[in-house]
Amino acid sequence: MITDLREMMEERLLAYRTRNRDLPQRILVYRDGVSEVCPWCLFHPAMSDIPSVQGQFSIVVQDEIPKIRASFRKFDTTQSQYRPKLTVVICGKRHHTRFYPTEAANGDHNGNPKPGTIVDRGVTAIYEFDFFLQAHGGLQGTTRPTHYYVVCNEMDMNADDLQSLTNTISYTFARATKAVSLAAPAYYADLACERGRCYLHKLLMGISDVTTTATSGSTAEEEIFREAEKLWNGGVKGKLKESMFYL
Amino acid sequence: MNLVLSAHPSRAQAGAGVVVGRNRYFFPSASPPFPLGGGLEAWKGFYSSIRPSFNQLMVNVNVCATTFYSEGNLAEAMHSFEQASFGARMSAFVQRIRVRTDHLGHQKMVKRLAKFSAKQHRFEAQELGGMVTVEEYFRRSKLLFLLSFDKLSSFRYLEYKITLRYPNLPLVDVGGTKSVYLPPEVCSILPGQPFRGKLPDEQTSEMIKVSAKPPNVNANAITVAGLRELGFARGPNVSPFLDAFGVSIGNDMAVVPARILTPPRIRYGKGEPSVDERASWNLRNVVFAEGGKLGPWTVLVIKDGNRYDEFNDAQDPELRSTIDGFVSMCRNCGISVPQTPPLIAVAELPRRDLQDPLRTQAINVIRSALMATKQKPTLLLVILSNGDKHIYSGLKHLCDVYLDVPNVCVQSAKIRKERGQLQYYANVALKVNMKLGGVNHVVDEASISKLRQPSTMLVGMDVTHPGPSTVKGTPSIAAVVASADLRFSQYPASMRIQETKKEVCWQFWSSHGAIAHLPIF
Repeated sequence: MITDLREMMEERLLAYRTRNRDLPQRILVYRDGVSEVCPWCLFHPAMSDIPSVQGQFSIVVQDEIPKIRASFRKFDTTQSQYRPKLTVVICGKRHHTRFYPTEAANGDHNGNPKPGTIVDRGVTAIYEFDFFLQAHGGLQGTTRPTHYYVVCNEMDMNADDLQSLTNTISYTFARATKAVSLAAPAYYADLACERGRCYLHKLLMGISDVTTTATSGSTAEEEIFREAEKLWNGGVKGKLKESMFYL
Repeated sequence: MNLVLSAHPSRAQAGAGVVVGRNRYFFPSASPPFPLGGGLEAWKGFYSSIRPSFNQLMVNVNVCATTFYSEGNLAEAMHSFEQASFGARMSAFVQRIRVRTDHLGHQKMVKRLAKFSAKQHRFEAQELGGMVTVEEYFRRSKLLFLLSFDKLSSFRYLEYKITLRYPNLPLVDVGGTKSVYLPPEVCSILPGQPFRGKLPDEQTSEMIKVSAKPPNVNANAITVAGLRELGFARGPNVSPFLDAFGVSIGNDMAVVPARILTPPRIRYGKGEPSVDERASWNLRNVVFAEGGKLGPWTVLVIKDGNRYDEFNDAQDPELRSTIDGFVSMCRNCGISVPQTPPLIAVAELPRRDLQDPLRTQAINVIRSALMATKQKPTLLLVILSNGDKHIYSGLKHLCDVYLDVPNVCVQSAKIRKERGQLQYYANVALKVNMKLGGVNHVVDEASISKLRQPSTMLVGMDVTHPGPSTVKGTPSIAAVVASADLRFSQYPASMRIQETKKEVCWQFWSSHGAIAHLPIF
């Protein structure tokens, strides 16, 4: 769950409007990090690992999509409401589906599927709109296809269009001169998170200034959060914030 | 169905299977562990989970690998883990590890690492007539010591005469609610325990080597060893539980239809590279779609005792030529670089110190070196001495959060090395151009026509959680990036920290009706 998603989306829409003097009519979201297991879930045997809107993905549908919609209201004017069409695609690489080409002609020299391989039948969800796409070329080992799962599709994208668009934007990742394994926007969000980890490095290394436990009504964990806020220091500000500083 | 399938591999009778997490099974007798160093080893195993599909059920089987503790003496393991990972916390290594105590033969779980060693910790030992250190206790205790009181009302006695070889290692607390401290060297790590902490770098790369196998090797492992170990292979050794439930599993991989999409065309300002069969291209003879403009800039040389790779000082002629080479790469790619050479700052870092594992002193030195340049650069090029994560993180923290300075880090060893130097320069130029607000490349208009009308904004979102061996209560980090330009090139970000929500997980658990079986540890 992304707690402050409404504010963050407002910031992004504002940045878009500032630059383009207009708001987008449609918004296509690639959401990564959903199936990532949190420490409390790690070892529980009964938790199903089958992706579904009833399971892990319900958080996105029930909590995040409403927050994204709420962000649009900030841009309502007295004349008109701002209601762009929203499509949300959850992407995941942490799964155990692998594809082995049945014919050598459909594979690369290592025997992995060729870049651009799409599977959307046979091993995908029965009722929902999902697909596996391996946009990238394999480097070493067995290539991991990325799973894309559409949980909201107001843009009314059909399978062909969304699949080829997702493949295309895997070629727009600026830091490389190749297709990457994840839709570029989700990849950028990964990098930004990774950068955020630098700011909390101390706590992530298991070191903290908080020594006393639970003083004056606040728990130790609340104190740790305050320490994190201090390290975070409001995050990146100024001109840097409107750049791709996290690359 | 998952329970039926897992009944066989998770029961030890076949090949002493060990289950990790939900669906991963390891059979050390079938595939011997691979030592990683640092008290750890890699086990290879199989993932298995049921999948509903149209009109049938399928089993998803894959190879997997995970890290286990190596069996053996705890003190030696702690020692080598510490050696393997400068600054990694031993406390994370020992937490929740199950051991057998050598002197008493008891099985214990380590609750935590003490903050004191066998040399430092004193306690009242009546049989030795007063306060002694743990080290002394183990050496001197010749008196008979009450070990246990069994049903036959007889006492068993034991005598220690152990000289500790690692008296300076912290003690481990193996107690329950009351602390019981033991020197780690009288403990042996029990077999079959997965390591849940963060791997040191060297072990991570070893792990990748162990697990990265070409598709034919993996496919073969799945269909032969995998099906056999999991009890799915048809024949006499099939899992009796499958038989009992009248279930059988096809032994061939499912064949599914696939399509191969054609890549988009890549457009630069000048030149149009062709995409090869690995979906990649190169920067030869191309100019960025939109070159960024560099203003006054600064190069920061980090000196951290790596004489072999580092530049000597600001006057080092090799530094000059390296910068010149990089600048000409930038210009060739279309970045505008001022004629005035960059300011050069040098930060000579204090030595590593166990008392300062995060190297805050070194970061202070870097801060002072930057402040002394008296120019807020439009770009700071940092030439790192080594791969020290504390320095890298501290630098990013300093420049991003406090100084508001666009920065890019390079490794001294890599940017100097002649082989692959142009490629390295080019990769840095890719980052620099984006950080300056440029556009590296775009795809052909036809491929993104769907994003044009109506106008579309692309958004990426991700959350990262603190993970094991971090301070409890450390927040998660969320990032939202969105395309800001109509070329789908610049994606500025919004980032927040947020409480790592426990309720979410509880919700998951209860929705699967499993709340009554929560494991307790």
